[in-house]
Amino acid sequence: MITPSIHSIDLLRLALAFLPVLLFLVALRGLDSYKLVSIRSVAMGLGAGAIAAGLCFAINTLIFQRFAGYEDQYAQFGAPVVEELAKAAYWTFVIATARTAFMADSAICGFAVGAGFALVENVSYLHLLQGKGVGVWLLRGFGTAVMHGGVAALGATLSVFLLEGRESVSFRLFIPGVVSSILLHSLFNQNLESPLTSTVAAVLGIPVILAFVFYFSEKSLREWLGGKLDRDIDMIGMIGSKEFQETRVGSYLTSLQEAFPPAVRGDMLSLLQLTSEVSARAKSELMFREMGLEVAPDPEVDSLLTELRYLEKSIGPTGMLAIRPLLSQTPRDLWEMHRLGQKQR
Amino acid sequence: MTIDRTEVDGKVVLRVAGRMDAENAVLFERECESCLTDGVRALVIDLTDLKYVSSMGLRSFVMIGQKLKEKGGDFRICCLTGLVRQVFEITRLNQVLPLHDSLESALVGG
Repeated sequence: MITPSIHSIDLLRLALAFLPVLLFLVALRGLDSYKLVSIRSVAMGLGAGAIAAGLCFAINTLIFQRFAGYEDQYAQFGAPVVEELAKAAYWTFVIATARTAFMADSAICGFAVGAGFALVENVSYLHLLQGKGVGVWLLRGFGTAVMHGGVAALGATLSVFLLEGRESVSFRLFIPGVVSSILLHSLFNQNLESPLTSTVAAVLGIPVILAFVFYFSEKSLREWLGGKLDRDIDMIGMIGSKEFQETRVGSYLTSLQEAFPPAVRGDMLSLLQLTSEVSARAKSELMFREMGLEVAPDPEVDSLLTELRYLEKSIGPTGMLAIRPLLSQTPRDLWEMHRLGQKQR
Repeated sequence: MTIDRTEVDGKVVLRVAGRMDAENAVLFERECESCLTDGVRALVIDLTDLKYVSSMGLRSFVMIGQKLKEKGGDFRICCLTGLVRQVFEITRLNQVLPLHDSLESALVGG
């Protein structure tokens, strides 16, 4: 992809095209007051985008060779499908595996993939656009990079929005996000008025849309955090109270006495208490972080998570199914557990 | 929820009783703000009779603690019991704010 005849001026142009995108990515991360996405995750997103770009370069080259003469049509309709699917492979993976669960962090991951993609793509264009003016580079480099990052970020955000509040991840819910990123990419490639119009629309429009995404994500996160932390506190209080048998949780566990032996019901109660405690720890940490406080890593979390795994095994799949109504396991809850588990490694 | 304000050894003691939920947390914040406006720089919160604290309550404690710290003041919490103590320990608020077992120990020093 890189030829030996690259001039230093072209490298300067590459930097000119890519630096603002990196700064935009840093700004997005700075806007996230909960600091949900680590620098490592951003770097992984950039890397995944670069790999996706390499793959697409190979596929696109093959298609260009096979269907010579249809380059323009392919660039407008075919390439957006291939490229967005390649980028979506990463961002759907991080969302489906609960590595991100909020709109803001999904937007950052999506943008990082797009930025990584654009970097490699721009390197490959160095050769093709050698000697062209700065204006062409800004259009080709910066505009396209913002588009790549922006449409992936919007696709990921839309998917998280559709998944919100759902207990399990359904791949059908990713379709609107992937399709919308393909459509926006295709629209950008149409150059309806001129390449300049498409670039200006992307550079001005995408930051505005992402600013809204961040505003609503932070609002939703704050409400979720408060609401769920209160539920955890209520559960801990309920389990510790003298009138536990009369509470809804107590009554429900009593109703299971014919189906499960006392030891398993005891483990069920321990699991409920432990889940609420682990969950409350994770949420309070997020809350403190939002308030600008840093708390030292929790030394107990590792053993608590080990105990949780033991209890799950001891209760068994049928027992876990029986206490499912009392446990909240939305993608956000899974993400919270994932984040806690990661921090201990 | 009730809040009784007394002064001991030049420090203001707020004795909070009942349940500190979202609505009451605002009242607590207001009372603390009024102490700060009055120039109070040493605030002790006695939670002997507090039976419940919600996430909003936890936020309020952190926020008032931060405000007092910014003004060079001293914010102490004492006499936590039952669920409230459990919640402070689980959320590790005890690492952020100094907790004392008794009112006497909270009033000593500083």
